[in-house]
Amino acid sequence: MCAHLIVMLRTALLAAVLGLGWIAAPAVSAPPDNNADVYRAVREGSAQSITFTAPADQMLIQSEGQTWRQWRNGPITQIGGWVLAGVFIALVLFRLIRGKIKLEGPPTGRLIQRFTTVERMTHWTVAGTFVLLALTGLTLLFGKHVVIPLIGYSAFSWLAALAKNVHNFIGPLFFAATLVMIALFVRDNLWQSIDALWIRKAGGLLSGEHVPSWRFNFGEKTWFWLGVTGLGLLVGITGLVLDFPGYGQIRQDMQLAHILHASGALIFMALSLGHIYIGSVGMEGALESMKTGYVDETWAKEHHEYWYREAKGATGAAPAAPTGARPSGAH
Amino acid sequence: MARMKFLCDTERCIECNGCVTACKNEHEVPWGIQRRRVVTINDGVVGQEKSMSVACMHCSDAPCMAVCPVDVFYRTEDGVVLHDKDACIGCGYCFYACPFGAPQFPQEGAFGQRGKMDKCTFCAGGPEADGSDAEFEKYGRNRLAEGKLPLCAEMCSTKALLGGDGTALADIFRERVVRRGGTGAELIGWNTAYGGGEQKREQTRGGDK
Amino acid sequence: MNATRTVILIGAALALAACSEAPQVTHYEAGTYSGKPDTRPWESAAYGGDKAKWESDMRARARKQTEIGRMPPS
Ligand code: HEM
Ligand code: SF4
Ligand code: SF4
Repeated sequence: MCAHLIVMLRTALLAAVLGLGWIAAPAVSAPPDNNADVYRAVREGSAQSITFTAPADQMLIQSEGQTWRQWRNGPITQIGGWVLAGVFIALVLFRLIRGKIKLEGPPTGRLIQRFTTVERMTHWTVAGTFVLLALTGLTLLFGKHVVIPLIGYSAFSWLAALAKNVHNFIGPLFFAATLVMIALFVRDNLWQSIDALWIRKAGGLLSGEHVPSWRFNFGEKTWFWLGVTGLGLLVGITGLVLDFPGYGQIRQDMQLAHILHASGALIFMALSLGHIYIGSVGMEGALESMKTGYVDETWAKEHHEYWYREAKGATGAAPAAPTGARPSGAH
Repeated sequence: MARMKFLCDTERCIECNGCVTACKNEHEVPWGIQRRRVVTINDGVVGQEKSMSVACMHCSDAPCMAVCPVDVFYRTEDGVVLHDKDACIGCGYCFYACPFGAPQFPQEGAFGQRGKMDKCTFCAGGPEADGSDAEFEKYGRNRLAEGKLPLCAEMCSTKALLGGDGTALADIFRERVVRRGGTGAELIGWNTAYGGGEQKREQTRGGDK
Repeated sequence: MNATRTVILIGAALALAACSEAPQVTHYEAGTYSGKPDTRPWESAAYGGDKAKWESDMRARARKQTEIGRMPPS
């Protein structure tokens, strides 16, 4: 009788300790109707029966959520933030040390067409939507830490709702524009043997030397393939998976898509800072070419010598255009 | 100080879905949403079938709270995890993070986007005046403010589902286990829900605050 | 130029501040939660702020969920 009581008490104690503490505790003295195996199966995330159909609900406990949380709140928020800040600072330093890349020769006043209207419109659609997506995406990722302390909780909730909706509606537009852009530029971004020289000289970035190239140099090609094509497609496709729930993707798919989307987007943004820098304040004449479609012959010769020669050869004599104006009748 | 928890005794749950229905009715939960669900493990396998009722467990170190980009969640002094629907942007992050699949969303607007998140409130309403129409419409009844416990648990016919202060529930469960003679140590979900930070912090904080 | 540099430096400082680890879990302790405030259950009309009474009521209510002890032991 007494022994029975002790066994009962011990079991009760065990129940309390194990139950409150650790589900997968070793089956002490394994009573015949111990459920440990059943619950171990549960923690592996297998689908169970429910009386209505919703795939996510069939899983009793999903452990992946915790992994997702740790990735998103950990490395993505922290390393991602540092990488962005680091690239920004690096560019500021680069600008301070190296200054603006200026034309060496005097401008000739003669203009060559570098980008067609369609190319420019596509570029600015991609660029505009990208900036909107980057700003709204960053709002969702860092707003809680940066913006709430500044403008307060209610105002931020309003801003975040706007950010989310802008992000979700602009996203597909960005994706479509990216596809067009890839199609337009892919030909001139294929490997050309002169690119080896650019790699050997690291683009002349630090020396200030001009490395000849065709229409796009290897730096631009890297941005095209890694940035626009690789990250653009990655961020775009994962974004669409997140944007349109209810096409059969389950929670785990969306967690994975989100991790890829957010990390891809952060790398994309870091690279884009370099691209935006060189295309605007970093280099004389670069912005003009995407704004008007035309560059000065001096610029063309210094930055893309082979392309310049080809363009000259193709059009025969240099088109004599009045200084600063676009030649009329350009296609 | 109370620490509100849910406990489902799988040795007793008979998958009657009474808790699900009671909850839907009590709070007039939006169309398409069930704040509680009953999951059956090993359905049809004789002798191994276990059912359990699950909803938001009101986690100690709540994942939903940690990932919400707009910080809509708050934990009450008695450990109930509540949220502010006014501020929710329907991003779905809480749904990705939650181990128990508690957050749910009405489909809204263009392309069936997510509306404002809805989940179990432990019958504690939300950030509106207690018992007001606004509170009822967004969050349902506030039974805690009326001195009552969650309806799902209180009306459970087999008393499989228990709700209330964690120590009280542990006492009840312990008594049961003693009677049964040795089975039922698996308080499923408790480690996931209550094993995290806050509980540890509460323990080291030492006593009430 | 100087102004630009200041702006850039402030921007960099802000960008860096974004990386500091903030607590991820909100505590509902008076004054620390920035979101929409809520009253506590014992501050309702039914209890009028009597926390002790609310807690003892809750405990009593929780105990009603067990059938053990309702019958005399056999
Ligand atoms: C096809 C294009 C895109 C689509 C469809 C898309 C869609 C989404 C969706 C659905 C989310 C989840 C949050 C929410 O529902 O509001 C998200 C998050 C995010 N997106 Fe995008 N996105 C796209 C492009 C981009 C681009 C180009 C960037 C940045 C360069 C970006 C950066 C982000 C960031 C930083 C987050 C937040 C991650 C977090 O809060 O953890 N996205 N995006
Ligand atoms: S069960 Fe889910 S919704 Fe409830 S507190 Fe835990 S993580 Fe949040
Ligand atoms: S859906 Fe609402 S509650 Fe959930 S994480 Fe997003 S904003 Fe927060």
